[in-house]
Amino acid sequence: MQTNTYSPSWTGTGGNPVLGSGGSVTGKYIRLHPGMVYGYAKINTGGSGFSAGGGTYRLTLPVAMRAEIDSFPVNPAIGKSYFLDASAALTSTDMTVLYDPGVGRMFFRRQDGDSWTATAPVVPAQGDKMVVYFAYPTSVA
Amino acid sequence: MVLSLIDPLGSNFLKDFPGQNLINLDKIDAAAGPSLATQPLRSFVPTFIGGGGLNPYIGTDGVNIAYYYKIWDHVYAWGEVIFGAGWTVGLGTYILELPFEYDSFLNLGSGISSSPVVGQGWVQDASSSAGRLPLTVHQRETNRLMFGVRLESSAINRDLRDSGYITWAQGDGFIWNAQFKVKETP
Repeated sequence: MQTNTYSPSWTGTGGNPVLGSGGSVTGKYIRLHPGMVYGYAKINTGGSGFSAGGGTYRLTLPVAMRAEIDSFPVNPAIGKSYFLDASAALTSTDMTVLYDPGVGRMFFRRQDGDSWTATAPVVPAQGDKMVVYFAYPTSVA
Repeated sequence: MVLSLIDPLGSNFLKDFPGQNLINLDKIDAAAGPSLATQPLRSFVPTFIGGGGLNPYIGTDGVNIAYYYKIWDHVYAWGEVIFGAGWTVGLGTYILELPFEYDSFLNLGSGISSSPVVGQGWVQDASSSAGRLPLTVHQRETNRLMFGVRLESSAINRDLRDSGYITWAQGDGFIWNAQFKVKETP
């Protein structure tokens, strides 16, 4: 079984975040059988120069979602994630990973029901991190 | 899972190897089932149950769909329940009955404390993002799922049900995924 790497695109609906020095957005995934995809993505906001962008945050998937799941009437849940606020434990939190069929990307639902945005649960800052695990079916061989 | 692949056709290892290999591969195919086929994603309709004795009704245009991918004895499933026109809320803990049988060694109970978390979900509140709250997905008994509500939700119950976590309305529902081991069927 081969581990593949991909470069997730981290976007904001009101403006894309800009990584600071040493920052990174990385992803890895495997295929099983071969329609199942298991993946990890990590965001490290980096240091000097980081800008949070605006709006709802999204991440790209490594390969396309299978059409049947793509046709769900509301956003399917495909994984779990954790946002680490480097400066405060209180605003570090787990979030459910959802898939938005309209744009073909992941987004993240907080415990209070709203999405992970550039302002909530906190404005991301230098040194913050996000780790994401997801599993979903794809028709891409 | 253990497959017996030793079924000698003859004593000549080199000469008999192709036939033996074919038998072994057929055994592996049979054990893996549809996961090796070209169309491995399959669908089912869970039975939507109210644990209080009155089942909810999703309505005439409601949604209760699920897809699964079975790899050996593990099932990976995604599903949604959405209330449509004419829906009724039912009574008690919301349970989904699945067309699989869990492995009995798990010794699952019916309460949330004896039903391990096997997935994530969330409540679809069509009218308010504040109501789109997370769920934990639990496997219980021999073939069922139930759903746990979040910490400090103010609901007096620990599980998703007809009332408490959300006041249900048309267009509301819940979304879930789960990964679990089923009884081996080689």
